[in-house]
Amino acid sequence: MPEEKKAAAAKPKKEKLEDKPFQEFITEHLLPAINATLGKVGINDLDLTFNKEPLPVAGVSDVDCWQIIGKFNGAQRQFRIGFLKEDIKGQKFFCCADNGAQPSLLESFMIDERRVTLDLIVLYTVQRLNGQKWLTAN
Amino acid sequence: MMKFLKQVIDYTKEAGQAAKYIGQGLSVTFDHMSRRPVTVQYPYEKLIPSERFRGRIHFEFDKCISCEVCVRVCPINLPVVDWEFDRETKKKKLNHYSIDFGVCIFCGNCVEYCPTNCLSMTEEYELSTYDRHELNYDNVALGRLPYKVTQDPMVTPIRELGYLPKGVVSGHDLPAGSRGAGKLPEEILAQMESDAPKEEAKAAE
Repeated sequence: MPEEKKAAAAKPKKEKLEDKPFQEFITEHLLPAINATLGKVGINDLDLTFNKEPLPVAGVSDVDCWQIIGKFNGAQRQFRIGFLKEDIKGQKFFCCADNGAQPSLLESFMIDERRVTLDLIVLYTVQRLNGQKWLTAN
Repeated sequence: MMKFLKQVIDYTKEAGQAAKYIGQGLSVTFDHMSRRPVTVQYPYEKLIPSERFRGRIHFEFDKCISCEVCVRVCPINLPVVDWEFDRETKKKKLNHYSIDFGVCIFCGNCVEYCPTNCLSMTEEYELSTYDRHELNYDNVALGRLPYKVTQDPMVTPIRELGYLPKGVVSGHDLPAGSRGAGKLPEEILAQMESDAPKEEAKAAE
């Protein structure tokens, strides 16, 4: 019960952040948060952009959608988090590629997550990149 | 005289016996002429695995909630789930996941019990390596798209006997678009649905 209370108390503050307009939330809150968190784990040359671009994967490249594009390690490694709708709660995907290659595999992103908050998006991003062995060795 | 005759008779008998045994032995050989050809010119031809084939396990990193059910249901607790608790978001953060296919017996329990369906079976069965430790797949390797016999341009996929048209015994040189014997489940369902109103009408009468 005390946990629920805490969550309830914390919610109003959080909801404000996630209720902001899509682009404002991402450019002003999400991108700096991802930048800061990845900086903590040792990625210094991260280049984060937020653009509306066609999907980079062959076969579905005719779909335009908003994407967070992160490049680091001398722009050799890239990852993308795409939003098919202009809504952080909408369908999201993840793709990544190393050695300056084109991504080839479109993966779901936060597909089973009901709550979509700033912290969670950052957590999932870091978790996914870590899973790719890009942040630390196994 | 009688002795000579007996020798001739014995010789003839033995020759007959020998011919009989040779014939018996060769009958096994000639029996194969009427049998179904089963040879598949691997690796140029490969058999299409059946629907519930249990091959390499595919893992979707994003869906995993680090519940470790796969470890509990595994007969030898094989999957390695490396997670840590993230205090800020109160969530388990999955660091790494791996399954050693050199040890896995492909029982499929993990796939069956995974609550988020992040594990799935593939049709990939060619897992030979020079070093058995190479079979220890991490989440990157587990997340790669599986190889499929039917998608490989270098390979002629061959259907197994149960999937051949009625009366056909060899999967080689099938005409394009030929179907297996019997109906597909969806066709049976469609027929049942179209028959249902008629039967209801009959029952009403």
